[in-house]
Amino acid sequence: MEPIVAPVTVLVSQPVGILRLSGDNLSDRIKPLFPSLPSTLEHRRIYRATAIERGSPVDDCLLLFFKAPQSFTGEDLVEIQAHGNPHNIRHLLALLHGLGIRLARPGEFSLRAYQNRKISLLKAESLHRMILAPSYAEFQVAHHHYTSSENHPLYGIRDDFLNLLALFFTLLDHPEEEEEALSNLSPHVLQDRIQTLERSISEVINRTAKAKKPFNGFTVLIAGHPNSGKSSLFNRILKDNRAIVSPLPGTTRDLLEGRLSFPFGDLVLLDSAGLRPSEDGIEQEGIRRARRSLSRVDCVLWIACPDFPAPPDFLPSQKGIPFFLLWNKVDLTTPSDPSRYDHLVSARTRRGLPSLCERLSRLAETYYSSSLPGSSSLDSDRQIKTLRRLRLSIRRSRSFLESGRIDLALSALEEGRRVLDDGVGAIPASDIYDRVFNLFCLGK
Amino acid sequence: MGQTTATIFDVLVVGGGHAGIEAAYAAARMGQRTLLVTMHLDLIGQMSCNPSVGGIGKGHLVREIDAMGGAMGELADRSGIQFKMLNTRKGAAVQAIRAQCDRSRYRVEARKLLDSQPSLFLRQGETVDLGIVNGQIDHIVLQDGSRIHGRSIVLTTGTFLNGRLHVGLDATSGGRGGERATTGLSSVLSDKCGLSLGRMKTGTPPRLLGRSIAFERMVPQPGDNPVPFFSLFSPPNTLFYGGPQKPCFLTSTTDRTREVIEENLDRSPLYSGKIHGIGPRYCPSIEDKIVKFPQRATHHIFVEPEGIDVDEYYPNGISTSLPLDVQEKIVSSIPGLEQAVILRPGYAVEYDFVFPDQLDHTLRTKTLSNLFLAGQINGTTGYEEAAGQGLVAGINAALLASGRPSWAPDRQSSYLGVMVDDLVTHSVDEPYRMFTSRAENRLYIRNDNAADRLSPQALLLGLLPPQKAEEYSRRDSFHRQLRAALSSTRKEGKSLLDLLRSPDYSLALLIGEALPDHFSHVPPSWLSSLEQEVKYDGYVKISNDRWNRMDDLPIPPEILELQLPGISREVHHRLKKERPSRLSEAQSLRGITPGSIDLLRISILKFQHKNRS
Ligand SMILES: Nc1nc2c(ncn2[C@@H]2O[C@H](COP(=O)(O)OP(=O)(O)OP(=O)(O)O)[C@@H](O)[C@H]2O)c(=O)[nH]1
Ligand SMILES: [Mg+2]
Repeated sequence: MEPIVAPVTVLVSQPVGILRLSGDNLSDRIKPLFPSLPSTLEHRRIYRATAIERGSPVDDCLLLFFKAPQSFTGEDLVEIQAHGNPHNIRHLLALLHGLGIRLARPGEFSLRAYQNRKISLLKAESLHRMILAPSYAEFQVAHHHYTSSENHPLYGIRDDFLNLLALFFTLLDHPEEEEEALSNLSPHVLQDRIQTLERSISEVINRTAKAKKPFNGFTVLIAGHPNSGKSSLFNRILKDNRAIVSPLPGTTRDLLEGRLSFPFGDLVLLDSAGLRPSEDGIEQEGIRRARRSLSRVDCVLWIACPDFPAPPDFLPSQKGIPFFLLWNKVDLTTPSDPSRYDHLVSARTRRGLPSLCERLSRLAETYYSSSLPGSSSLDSDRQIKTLRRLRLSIRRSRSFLESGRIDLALSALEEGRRVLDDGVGAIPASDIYDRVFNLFCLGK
Repeated sequence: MGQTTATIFDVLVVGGGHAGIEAAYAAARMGQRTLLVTMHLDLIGQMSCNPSVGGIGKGHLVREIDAMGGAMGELADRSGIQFKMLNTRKGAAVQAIRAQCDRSRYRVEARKLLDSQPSLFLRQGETVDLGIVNGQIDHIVLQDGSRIHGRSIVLTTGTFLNGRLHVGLDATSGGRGGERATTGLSSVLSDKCGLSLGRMKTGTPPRLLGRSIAFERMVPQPGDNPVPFFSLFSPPNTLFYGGPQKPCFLTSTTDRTREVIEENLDRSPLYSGKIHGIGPRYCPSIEDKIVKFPQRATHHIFVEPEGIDVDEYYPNGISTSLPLDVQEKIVSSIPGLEQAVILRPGYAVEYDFVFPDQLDHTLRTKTLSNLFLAGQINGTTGYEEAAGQGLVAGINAALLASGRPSWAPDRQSSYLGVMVDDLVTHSVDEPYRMFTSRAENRLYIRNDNAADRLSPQALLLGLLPPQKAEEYSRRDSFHRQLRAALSSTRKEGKSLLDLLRSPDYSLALLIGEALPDHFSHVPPSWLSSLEQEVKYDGYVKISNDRWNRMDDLPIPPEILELQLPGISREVHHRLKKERPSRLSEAQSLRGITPGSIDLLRISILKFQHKNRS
């Protein structure tokens, strides 16, 4: 496929910056940039080469070559290690672009790996979950799914499902065995097995739904009246100037997400639009989102300030979500009733911020240590959809079985088999027959 | 020997087993001058395994063969001593008939049937060579030196190719049941015909003397009443001998059986490594069962009568290749068989087969344009599977000989089609047996509607003699009339047809209550087939709709260049060659199974998904 490139390291000043390339005949492609390379590159070898632009050297690089199909993507793959100055990396990207190697879209390397059958869709999804994991524990779960697919909850369900199918096959094709193996081969037993499977599917779906967070990691929402200094605090805590700060109320219009990384996991910080009655459509939407988030995060910081010393009474109830009332702009005034407030802070002077941050990080740590990620939850919405469809066909099958129409029950189950074909990977008939003959001693 | 009319035929069939019978009978019905060559004329139609026809999937095949005017259903009806409808409590789509037959009577009936065909001739002799001229078989050569010419040839040599019998550690060359083996033909097939061969094995139990068996210690297994005969065309009114059905008897192995086998495993050719062929997993030897399922305390044995004139019984379930002294110990360890006398020892047989993916959907070899293979030579087991292939090969041999276009059964509408398609697209890695679970369109291809599905095709091919054609058309017009009456008669505000769809109503009930009496004066099978058709209509439609919905996808041409997971190389190759633009088009291609259409559909969906994101 057409060659693509992406920087693997972020574009900041650092000793080494890495570019990754994938595509057909990569060695020919990059030869003009690295004329000193041999004409055929060997798999898994490191080459030292100087990038040349119009006759003059640009940078000294190390090139790591993987030959198709033994690479991650299944195509030729090259990693270029260059000096990690962001301007240098950008320049190299531009030179590669000049050779017809375009910038990869997000996830495109994994996509190619999947397209070239290097990884399954399930694996690609686990990989995605792995890369975005907000904590090491989450990462481990995803990695567990990624490295050994039999750990994936979908595989467990698939396995149970195929065994059930094998039972049906046996029951229908070997009636002479019925009396013999009565204990595990009656419609009654099938009924129980179907129910158990249905239940375990529902469990996985529910568990995933429960484990599913709107934000990926321990999330703190900064909310409050307009102009109370939310964006200023957001910037201070993140030590960044991401949010726009202005003396005009109603500056922030949408949720803004920032991330602090701790050894135990990420803290996701959300800045939100100030809550007030508004006619402005965009602001209204921002306010709606802010209010909705109030109940979907793990902690809320409500920012009060001299103009609005108390939270409004329309706040939705925060069931079990830690809620802190903060007094901002303490450099200007102290509240008349300081005991009401959990923290007195100033975004301007940073007063009170260290102890606030300390508190948040403790909360985050407890969160990550108590909510160990379920290894039995699914990786994607697509997987949930697959299971829902599977459950549907299983339910149909069960209702046919209840009325004694086993042939129809099997047909309904076979639709479930197609759902799994789609969602997990094709199931060859021989797989089911293997189960039939391993489960039962059939034949005379 | 010169070329006289005695040595020139339209269709030559080699082998007089169940495949050979159907092949020769079909070709003869289609008016071809046909010769069946077999090693022993008296053994035509020999049941070399247990004396039983039908079962789940297999019984479906017999019905289909019958609907096409074939022999097996009628032969079983005319020689049957016990009949049973299986799976009666599991839904009409998976019901099938199984019959116990009188082994020698079956042979007699088979011979009578073939002898009654004016254009069919028999010849005893061993075929030792094939004469090939211009990529075609020109003639066959018999051991006595005669050359016989045919326009097309059907080989149905069963387990006789390079056959080797094992009783204990002694091995002799031979086919089943003490017959001689064909040794030379194997190398002719591989060297001259360019076909690649594999090796399989199968086995039989020892046969027992009836008067030495204590039947009172076993559980009798009676047949059904009324007798469910196979044939749709004027089935007999009684069993051939006029008497009641014969029961089978159920007993089982004991701990002692296990001990005997475990003590003597080293004397089994299976476990001492003397047998290399692949055996069927669904028909294991007793030593296999004991070794593979140690947790199982007992294994069932069905003691089946061999016939009404002989006092011989077939203990189904203890097929073995252990030496005779061990067989005796095994038998005496079984309740009811303590004193049983062995009439013939059990044995295992190893034989060559041709990997069937070297055939097309008419069972013609890809290497020689007028050579057809049918039966166990293609790696299948079972009389019914063999007969079904014999029918398909015989029809096509006749069509080829008469210069007409070929015919292949359709996977969506017959077990015959499922079998042929499975064999030629996926080949086999163990002896192939039909199962109802192999048929995706199971709800439609039922035991009760075989005639509706296949007799019209048989009529077009000229396979139904006038009297059967007439019977089929009477049945068909009866169905039309009854259906019309059902949809025009109303009860409780609904048509009877609609009521019949519900599980709460039966046709018998509706005929008794609301329809004129004359509808009940037809063969019961006519009534039940209409009833099931009405009841399954809706479900069949739903599953067809599902297929059709899937059909609509266009096939992006570039997808055929990718690897298509799960799709066999053969199918992939065919897709690349034919380049269908839509799934529906791909589905209509030869050799493309619904399974592979499904897989292709998945690949297309994934491909689209990728391109969208
Ligand atoms: N003196 C003082 N001024 C502050 C402090 N925090 C914020 N301000 C000022 O208050 C004004 C509003 O600050 P923002 O951070 O934009 O407030 P906001 O809550 O995000 O406002 P909206 O986005 O409109 O809801 C700005 O002029 C800030 O400079 C503080 O701690 N002390
Ligand atoms: Mg703001």
